[in-house]
Amino acid sequence: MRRTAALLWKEWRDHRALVFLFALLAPFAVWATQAAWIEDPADPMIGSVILPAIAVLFAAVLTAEALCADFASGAADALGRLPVSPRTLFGTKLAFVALVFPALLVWITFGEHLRRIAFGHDVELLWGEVLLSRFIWLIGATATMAVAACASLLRRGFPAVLAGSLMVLGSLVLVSRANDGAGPTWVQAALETWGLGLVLGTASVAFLCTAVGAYSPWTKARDARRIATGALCFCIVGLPAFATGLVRYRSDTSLQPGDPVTVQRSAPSPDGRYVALQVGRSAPWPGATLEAVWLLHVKTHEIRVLPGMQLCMPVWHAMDSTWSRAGELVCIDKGDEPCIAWIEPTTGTVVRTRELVDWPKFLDDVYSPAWCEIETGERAEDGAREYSLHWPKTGQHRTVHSWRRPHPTRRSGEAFYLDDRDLMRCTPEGTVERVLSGGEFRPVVAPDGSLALFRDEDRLWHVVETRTGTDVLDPGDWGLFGWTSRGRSAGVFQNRSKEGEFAIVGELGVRNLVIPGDRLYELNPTPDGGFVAHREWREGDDRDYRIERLDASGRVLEVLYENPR
Amino acid sequence: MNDVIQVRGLELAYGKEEVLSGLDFDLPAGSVTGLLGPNGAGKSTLLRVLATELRPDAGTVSVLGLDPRRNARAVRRAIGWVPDRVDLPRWMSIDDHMRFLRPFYPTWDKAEVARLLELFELDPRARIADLSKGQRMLEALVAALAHSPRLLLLDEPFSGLDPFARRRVFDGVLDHLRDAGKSVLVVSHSINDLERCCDRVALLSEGRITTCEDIEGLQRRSARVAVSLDPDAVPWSPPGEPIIEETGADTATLFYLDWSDALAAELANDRAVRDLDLLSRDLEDVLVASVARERTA
Repeated sequence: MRRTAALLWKEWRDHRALVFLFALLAPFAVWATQAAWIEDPADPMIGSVILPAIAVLFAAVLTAEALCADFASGAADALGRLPVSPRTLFGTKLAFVALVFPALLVWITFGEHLRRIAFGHDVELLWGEVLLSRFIWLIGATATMAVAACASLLRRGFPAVLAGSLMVLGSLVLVSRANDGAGPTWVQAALETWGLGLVLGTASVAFLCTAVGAYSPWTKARDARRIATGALCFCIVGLPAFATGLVRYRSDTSLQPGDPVTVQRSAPSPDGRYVALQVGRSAPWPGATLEAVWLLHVKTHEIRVLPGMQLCMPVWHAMDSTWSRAGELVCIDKGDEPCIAWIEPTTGTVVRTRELVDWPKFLDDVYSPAWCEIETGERAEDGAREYSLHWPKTGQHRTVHSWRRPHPTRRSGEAFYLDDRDLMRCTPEGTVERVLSGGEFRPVVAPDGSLALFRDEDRLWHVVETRTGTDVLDPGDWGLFGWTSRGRSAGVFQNRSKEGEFAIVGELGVRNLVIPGDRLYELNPTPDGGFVAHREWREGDDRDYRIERLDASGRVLEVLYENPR
Repeated sequence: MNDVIQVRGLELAYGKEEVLSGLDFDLPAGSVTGLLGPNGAGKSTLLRVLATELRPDAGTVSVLGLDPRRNARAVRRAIGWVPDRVDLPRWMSIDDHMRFLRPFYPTWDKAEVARLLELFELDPRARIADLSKGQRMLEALVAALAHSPRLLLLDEPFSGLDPFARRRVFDGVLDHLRDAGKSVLVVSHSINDLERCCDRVALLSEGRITTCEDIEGLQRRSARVAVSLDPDAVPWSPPGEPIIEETGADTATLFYLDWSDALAAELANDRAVRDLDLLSRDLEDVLVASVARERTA
């Protein structure tokens, strides 16, 4: 037992620098790998592939180092003269690796946890509670260990003091983050400082290793300059630390269920199985928000988190384009390269994407219902903006809304335009007729193009195919809430002057509806004739949200989601 | 007297190169024996076999009554072994090294370690990497002696040692071991050092032990003789089996490894010899003559 302990002690002293560096660099390796290749911090590949791969790499390097270092240094001969069997010698080396490896895994886990805390959405909430109480001693131990390792390994004052000071400085900045409320920029700076210290330490060790003359058991040559196996290991493990400095940290936008979020919008899927929720909350650093899309399964109430996504918002409520007609959720992936992503709701996987040349400006860009076409508002010669919507269903529908005077609005080959306070229609043949008069008419066209509604300040008009000019609601301040995603076109309008009073406008006319309860923020029709209601309560700066499922009469069937207090 | 080492018919080859060929060797207990021989004769190889580092191709070896092939660990525990190349873990201090070795040897003697370190003026806190070659050899010697081995094997222990350190080794270690009845087998090319510390020498040449006896006897049985010859008697055949070191028109210098009174009388009575003179010789002369005769044979 004492002999084994002596051998383990020797192995520890032989490889402690490597173990220290492994432990210190492992979190950076994880972060760099994740930041460089896997942008999504919630990607299961990190847990299932990346972390095991790094762990296996470390274990392999450590084992190789443990087995080869004695041969490289010539100490193997001295060990071979000990009154122990070769099996004991090698067994002890492997036992050393087996003992050290779990410790490394703990450190890797710690690093990953620290990263999540540092860059996660919950940094503001958890920093003071978790980091100080749980990790302060780990950070202190890490810094102390780093200084001790450098001092012991290098036995040279300057590199040890420099590297150690940087690590201590990084730790102090990290800890001070708990008090000053600074954002992840400071955290990143601290980590970078920390990493810089590690890199300097690594470089010093590598330099030292390459400068040491060594004995080669193959050539029998002595005092030959060479790169020691340890230096190679340091370089391998140190590279991610360099990479960490090069990559840009990506903020973790994963808002998890249970987090206090703001529900900005809800959109039932065409089949009624899901409700897409646009959620967000202000980021703990100025001028930024964290956003995500939650995919709420109506039956099970389970929530699938789609980090970094943003629901495509309809333009002027002209259409509800969050869901494609094929039942895919259409989002804007707010990654480094913004693109529109079609997401399969059952798996949460992106089935296809379409790059965007620029970040979408919802008031300037126009999307077709199936998101096959995107047109940026055209600017006419006189400077007026002109928008075009393409309906891919038939390829024939084309609605143009121009702010140029007069306003031509064309639908199904027809063109509507405003002439002063009159709504005029221009047929493809060139015939012009007055449809409505006496209002500031704004068009709201159904997704399938079968329904065109015009409203002014206190009246709502709808035009169905060839029929025009029906005054359906009067008087009132009617605001459009949404369109049904599939089936018969229907617009849901709220009477802003009478809380809870709605009008469902469709081809067959108008149906009045009174939704009980208050604080109704949004009402979206579902394919079964019911609705998904989105309520919001405000008390000072606090907000509470609730997503309800209603039947056709407006009765609350169940609460799908409720913001936790 | 019991033999602590018994070797019979030892054969060992490095590939096709035969190093030891039918070597027989005995080392009596309590003797300090020097092992001499030309470069490549197999001296270090023999010590490595005895120290269990090499397995012989044929023959029997007994070290302290143990077979190194079957009882390697017991042999290593019982002997002290200082090889010519001392590759110790460089990061260790002397104290670290001693503490590391201690659990492997039940008979570890801390007092002896302290005595030897003080004798060799070694600082226990000094790192091995910072030691000179000679200091490293002394440190290895301390490590080899710390567990009071019954047999000490030394391979070129005096290389790199200054005269003062060498004297401390002679007086403080080897004499100490001899007085304690321990056995020592020393390989060295420094014959003066061996003459100083050993009571026996063994000569290894061409893979075999050609001579093995105490130094006094070896020197007593050898003689370097300068003879003046009658010119009419040339060519002349000397008696015995001398090594002819030098020949002139009527002179010759002969080296006898089997010198005896009878041989001296026969040479004196030879009618061709007009005069003879016994010249001085030392252990190195004996070694060189022995190797020359072996190669001639």
